[in-house]
Amino acid sequence: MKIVLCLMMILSGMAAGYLKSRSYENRVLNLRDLAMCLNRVESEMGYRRDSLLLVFRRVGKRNENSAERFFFAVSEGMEENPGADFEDIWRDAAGFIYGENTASFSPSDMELLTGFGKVLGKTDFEYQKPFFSEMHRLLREHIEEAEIERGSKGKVYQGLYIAVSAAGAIILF
Amino acid sequence: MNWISKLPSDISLAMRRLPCEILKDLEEVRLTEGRPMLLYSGGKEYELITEKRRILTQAEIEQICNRLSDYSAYSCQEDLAAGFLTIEGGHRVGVCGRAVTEHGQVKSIKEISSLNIRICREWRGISDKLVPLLLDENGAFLHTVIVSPPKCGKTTLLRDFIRNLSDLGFRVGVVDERSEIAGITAGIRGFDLGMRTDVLDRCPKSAGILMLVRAMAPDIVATDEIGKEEDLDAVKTALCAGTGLLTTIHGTSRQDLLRSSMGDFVRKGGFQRILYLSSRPKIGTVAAITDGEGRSLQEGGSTYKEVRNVIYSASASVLRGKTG
Repeated sequence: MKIVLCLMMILSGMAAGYLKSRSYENRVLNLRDLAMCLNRVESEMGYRRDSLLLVFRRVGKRNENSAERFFFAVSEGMEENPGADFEDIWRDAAGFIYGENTASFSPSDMELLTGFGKVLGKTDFEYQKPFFSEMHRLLREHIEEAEIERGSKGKVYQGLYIAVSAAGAIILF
Repeated sequence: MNWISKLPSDISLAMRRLPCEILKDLEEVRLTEGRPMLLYSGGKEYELITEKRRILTQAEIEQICNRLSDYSAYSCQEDLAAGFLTIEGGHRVGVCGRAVTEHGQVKSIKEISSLNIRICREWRGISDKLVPLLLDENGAFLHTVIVSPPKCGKTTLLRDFIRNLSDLGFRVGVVDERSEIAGITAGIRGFDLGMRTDVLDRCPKSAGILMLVRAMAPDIVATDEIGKEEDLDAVKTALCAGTGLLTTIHGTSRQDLLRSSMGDFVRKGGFQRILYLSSRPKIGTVAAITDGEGRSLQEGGSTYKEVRNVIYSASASVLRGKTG
């Protein structure tokens, strides 16, 4: 019985460590997906010159990752609330998809995303390009930071949880 | 009228509460910084007062313009440079503010201070009695121009002509440079243009006419507000290809038409039918119909239904000839 309890304790520790490290993995994946989707948004805007609503609906229609879900949420918000401010819709969608509850983005990632919503679509396309370039540059920096964190903190937390649960198991035993 | 939802909530609510007779005939909504909000309906002017306000600030006007463009200034930058937007439903929004110029060309408009939302409508059937006058005794289409001052319904009449001619059996190609004739949004037409009509949306007329003639083999090319030199060259190419022309031009009289860039074309008998519109006694009044020489034509003669039967029976005999 004690052995079973110890084993369960260690397994729980491993699972908890994995889940904690997973949030660092998710951050990397979500940032990469966002960068890819922003590339598609920029291409669609430049090539088709459709309105943001149509662009977002097209980019987000597959709904396969968080970024596509985000853009789809923005398009839905624009369609259902035509009288609402675009920045509010963008910010609400960001909070819904990437907010604290989902543990997908860091506070600085959220700030970057919501800040981009303040400039998107507001000028002609020639002057939108520098905003996209700057956003891509900042996203690359955030992705690099997230990868470093995944490699360091992710492994540390994983090891820590296993060690704590193993210590507990030893004490129990 | 989905665009009403894009106005501030109190204005949107007030507009939806307007009496039916005002909404039904609504022509224009004028929003100007620091001035009362004005509506034009059935030839009359009304002031819109909501629970919250009588006037709008410049920031609010700018925000309304952003919403009407779906926060996508980049997607309508050429239109904005020309001083207007076309919104869902084919309605045109005139925009005034400070022009931003580069090398003498207007690039865009900033500090927007007034908007004029011009409502466009479909009036099915308004051209029914006029269509027979655009056809000769064999049912062939005669090159036609609608001459009209602003706000007399020329685009509305043009739209119904296109629908009727298309349903009569003509293949009609439409160059809809400002997206007002077909009212296309996301590829879907807002207005009925008939079953044999192809539309080139947001295409300059000069390029669009040539594209249609080469690719879509229309019997008739229809376009609104012709007048530039490059448009004339494209028109001549279309006519050489045997395509009929249905178009509109600003003016009130034959003299205006002869003084316009189409003057030479008219003098040489380019148009066989000329319709003059007026706003008296009301918008859409056909003041006169003449042939290319300026001789007045009388209304009457064949009805729309008789002409339809002639065209259909002609089409049927052609089909038998092909299969037989």
